Amino acid sequence: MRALIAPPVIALIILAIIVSGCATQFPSQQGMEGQGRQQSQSDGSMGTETARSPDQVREAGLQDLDIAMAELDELE
Amino acid sequence: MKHQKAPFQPSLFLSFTWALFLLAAASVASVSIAFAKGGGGGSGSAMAVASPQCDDSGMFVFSKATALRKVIVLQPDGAERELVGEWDSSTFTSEEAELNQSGKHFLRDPSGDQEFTCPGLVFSCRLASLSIKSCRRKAKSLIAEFSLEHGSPEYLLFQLRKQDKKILKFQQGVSSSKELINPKITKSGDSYIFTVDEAPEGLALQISLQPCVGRYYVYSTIVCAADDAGPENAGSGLSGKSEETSRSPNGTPQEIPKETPGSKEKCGGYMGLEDRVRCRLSLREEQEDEYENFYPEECKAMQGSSGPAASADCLKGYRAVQQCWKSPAGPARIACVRKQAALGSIKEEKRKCQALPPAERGSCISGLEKKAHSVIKFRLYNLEEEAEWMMEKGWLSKEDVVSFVVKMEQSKLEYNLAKSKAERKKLIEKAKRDWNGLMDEVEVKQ
Repeated sequence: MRALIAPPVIALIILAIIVSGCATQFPSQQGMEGQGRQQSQSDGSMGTETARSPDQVREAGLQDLDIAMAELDELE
Repeated sequence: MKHQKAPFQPSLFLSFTWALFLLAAASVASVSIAFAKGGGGGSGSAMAVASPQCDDSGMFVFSKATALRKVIVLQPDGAERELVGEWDSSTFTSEEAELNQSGKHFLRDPSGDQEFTCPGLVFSCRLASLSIKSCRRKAKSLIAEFSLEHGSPEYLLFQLRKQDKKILKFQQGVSSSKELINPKITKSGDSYIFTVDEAPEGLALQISLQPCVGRYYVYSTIVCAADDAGPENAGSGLSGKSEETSRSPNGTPQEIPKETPGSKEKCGGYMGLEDRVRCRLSLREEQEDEYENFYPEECKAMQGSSGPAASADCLKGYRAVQQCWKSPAGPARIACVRKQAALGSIKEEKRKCQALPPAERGSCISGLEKKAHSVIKFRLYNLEEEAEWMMEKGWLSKEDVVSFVVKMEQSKLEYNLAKSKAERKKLIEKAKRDWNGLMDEVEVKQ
């Protein structure tokens, strides 16, 4: 009976080792996709890219300046 | 007969185990096939060289998933050359003037050599060099001697900074400030002579090769010495001698000013704000954090107006917020900046200040205002970085971004000089118009 049970179990263990070895080999290349890109900026700063449309970027910039106006009102 | 436990059924267990084994084998096989088709880094297509491009400045660019330890190219004359350049993730960019020959080249690659064609060197900022030998005032005229190698004088911009900081400009065939009377460039042996028949007093001269702003710092600056003593005391340059002193109009010896080359002052040394901005936008990553390249315009302006201590404090503030660029654009980034500035709710902090004894109230309010204004100005800085982000995505041209950044920097300087809330609000309104104007230029390439 042992002779009947052992081969597939051993084979499964070997396969598990092979599959886990493949998983650790490749993600450093696959994982680069979709991660935030480090970008260089003119004052030595680094930015993180997110998926934004030009309209979203425009709106965000305008909202930010509106908040600046509100802060000036609170301050003075 | 004794009762026996139900016997273990090996056939069922074995079937299950074999089924698992076959399923696992099939999974590994399908993953291997997926990678072989190019889904990961082990495939042939991902290892190949992509998009090799060579231009007439002798620069070579190509992409490859795995960086080569050495980039070696076989040139048309049969010589192999190891290129100087850098890798930026999977893209290699060489220095200029690395591949100067025209014709077929081969990039050595373990995956297979890649053929490409270069047009040959026409002009490279890396090879160009500029040196000002002297600049002298004689009565109202100005005479400067300079050398220029591997460059053409038609691309030179001459800038003269007056004592009141106003800058006069001259570029042959392009533009000339009205205060400069009859500026011209003539060849004199191996040098050039720049003369102006009438120029204002108290000048510093800068000569720069305009196509090279941000590339190899091809410019130089010198203070123009007054020298009414005559040709026997011509000093360095025009007489070919290198003397340490000349004579001032009253006859006393004075040190002949020496040039300051662009390589020493880098982006920060350009006279014009626009050139400084354009230079910084052109920098490679490893150059950006260099002190001379990092000095923010707002802090530079404070050196003259508020003194070195205020300027140093300003620089400290800019450095403190650099870590905030790691936060995504939006509320998270502003929250980071507010934390760095130690600014909580403005209303709450103001209330706390007003609850203090009169003797302490003033400095508390003043401290709060300083923190709040720095966060407000950061929002303008943030828009500059957003503009640069869009340039890197290809949505905006460099010139659009230069123009916008110059406007934001001027707004920050004016903000610092503003005396009232109304003035500051006007500047924020202007920033909104400038931002909308910039966004109208955005083109998303498909």
